[in-house]
Amino acid sequence: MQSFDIPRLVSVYPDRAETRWWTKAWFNNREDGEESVEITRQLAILFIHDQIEKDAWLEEYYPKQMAIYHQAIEQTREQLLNQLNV
Amino acid sequence: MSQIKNQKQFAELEYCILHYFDGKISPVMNQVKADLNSKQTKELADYLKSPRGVLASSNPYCFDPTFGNLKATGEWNSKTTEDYIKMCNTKIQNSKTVQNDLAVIAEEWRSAVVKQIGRAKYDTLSAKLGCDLAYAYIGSRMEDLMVNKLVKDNMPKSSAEYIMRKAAQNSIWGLSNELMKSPLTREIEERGEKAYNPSKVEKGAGKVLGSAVDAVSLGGAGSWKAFASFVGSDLAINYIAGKVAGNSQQRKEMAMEVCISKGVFGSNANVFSGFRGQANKINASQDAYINNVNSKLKNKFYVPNPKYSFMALTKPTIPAFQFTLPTNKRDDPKYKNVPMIVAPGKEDQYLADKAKYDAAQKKAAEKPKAETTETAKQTETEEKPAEQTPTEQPLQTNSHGWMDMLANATGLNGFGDTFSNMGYTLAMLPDVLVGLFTGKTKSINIGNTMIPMAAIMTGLFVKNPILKTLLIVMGGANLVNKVGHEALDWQKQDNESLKSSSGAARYKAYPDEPLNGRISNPVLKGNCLVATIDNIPCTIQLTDNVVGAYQSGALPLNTLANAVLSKNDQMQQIAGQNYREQETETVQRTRGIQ
Repeated sequence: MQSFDIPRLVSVYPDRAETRWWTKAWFNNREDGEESVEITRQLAILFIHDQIEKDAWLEEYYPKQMAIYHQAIEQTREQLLNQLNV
Repeated sequence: MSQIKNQKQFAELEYCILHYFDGKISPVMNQVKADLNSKQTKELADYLKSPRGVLASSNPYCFDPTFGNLKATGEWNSKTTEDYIKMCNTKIQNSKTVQNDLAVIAEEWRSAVVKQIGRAKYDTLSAKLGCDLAYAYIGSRMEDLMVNKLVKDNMPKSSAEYIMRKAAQNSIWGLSNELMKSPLTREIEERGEKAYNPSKVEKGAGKVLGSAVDAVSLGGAGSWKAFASFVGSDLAINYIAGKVAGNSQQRKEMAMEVCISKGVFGSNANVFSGFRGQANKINASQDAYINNVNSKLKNKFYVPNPKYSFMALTKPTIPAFQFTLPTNKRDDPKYKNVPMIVAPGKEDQYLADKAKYDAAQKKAAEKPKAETTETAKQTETEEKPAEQTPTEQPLQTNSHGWMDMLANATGLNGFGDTFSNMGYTLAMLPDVLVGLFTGKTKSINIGNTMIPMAAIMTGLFVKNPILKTLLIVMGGANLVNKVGHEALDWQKQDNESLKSSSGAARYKAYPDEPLNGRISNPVLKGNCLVATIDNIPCTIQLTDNVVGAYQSGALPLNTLANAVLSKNDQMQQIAGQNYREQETETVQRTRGIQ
């Protein structure tokens, strides 16, 4: 079994006073990552406790990047199937 | 014609001669050959290691694969057949025991002949021959056996005569030159007739025997000529004069034997063949005379004991061990049509599949018939009113008449199929040719290959180049066309049989399952399954069996994808367990060190 997935990391972090929370994502091993999005403390806790799935989280806060991700995967898949056809 | 008085004794002596040669002389020859070969190999190896050999082999323009230099100048590699014979002679000459043993056998033979014809006649015959008859016979016989052995050992036939000539010149039995011309003395003959005295015989045995052989060998067949004239054997003279077929060695052997047959036994035929035939039937271990002669020899030959002979040879009908063979299922008349290629135990399955296939074939054959009858009926009903109103009959255009006729006459009908599959046709050509003998090739037989073959044969003898080319090309193309059609028919049959045999018959059928929620978009292409498992797109390489099962319809895609997922989970679980075990081990070890 061999995966052709695109790496995507997502994390949550608070400010010093732990009153405000943000989420940040890194797609395709890019060092600078995507822009942070502010979230509620409750959602952050749910995320930390694995109560929310990673892809669902990304779809919620990074829909544009996820659309690109889906397109890339679909394209790869088609290329792969074409290669196998030959 | 005088009667052979002691035929058994002569047969026994023939037995002794043959077995002594096989047991004692033959190994000497083998030993010399092996020794020579090993020395040649060593010399070659030394040459290759030497600077000269290394330079010769490293220079691609001067490399001589036959090592001509070595063959010309090497001490051992320059040896010829002549030298080999010389080496054998030296070896035998040096062996006093062999010389002695040959003298013993010759004396036994002489005493047997003297018993047959008396002393006086024996002397006369010896005088005519120019040497002692017994020594001459034993020497010549050994010489024949030696040459026969060389011939048997894949020595070229043409060189056998050469060897014979050289052997005669060089004295096979290794006598010194001074004695070569000396005839046998009366004293030695008398001594030979008396009871065997080893001490006396030993002294002169080698010289005596050798001189006899040499006298005969040097004279070649000439010495036997005087003998043959004396005894009045026309047949022997014919052999000597070369009027009878065979090479010179065979003629010489026959001349000697026919001469002795006539002179000693008064027979016009060769009595020795009878003696040798009888010798083959002798039970030597029980024979007192053979054992007596053997006991006198220094090098005793091996006398086989029938008590300890091989079971397989003595009792071929009774098996030594009783095996109960498993009963063969194919013996049942029900399975008589099952080909051997079908694996044992699969006969019933094969018959079931074959029945299905035959039924499908029959149905397929009947279908067009039924359709044609139906359409015929329809056309009849349609035509009935048409008959009432006369309409224009379709005109027969003979547009393909000439083409069809030419194609059929030249055997090139459907050549387009063959031409478009030329590669396949040529690849299948050997199979089709083999099929002619095995019966697999059905469409090619003598009847339909006669004309192309005749065209090719005629083409070979026709002088006109245009006609020659035309005939050969047309004949060849006809044959290739036939082969191509046969090969294409096979392919068609294979495809049909593959289509008709359902996948379920070859693979276990699995029910279709709902796709696991963790998997999405499974697609199978070639041997590769592309799917998204747990939101991770991945490819999975499958084995040919699995793909075959999927393609035959026995394994639905959803079931296959589910099975792959469960297998993957299982592997992950095992890996996880192994990780945990390793982890605990490491912890325990670190604690142990602390």
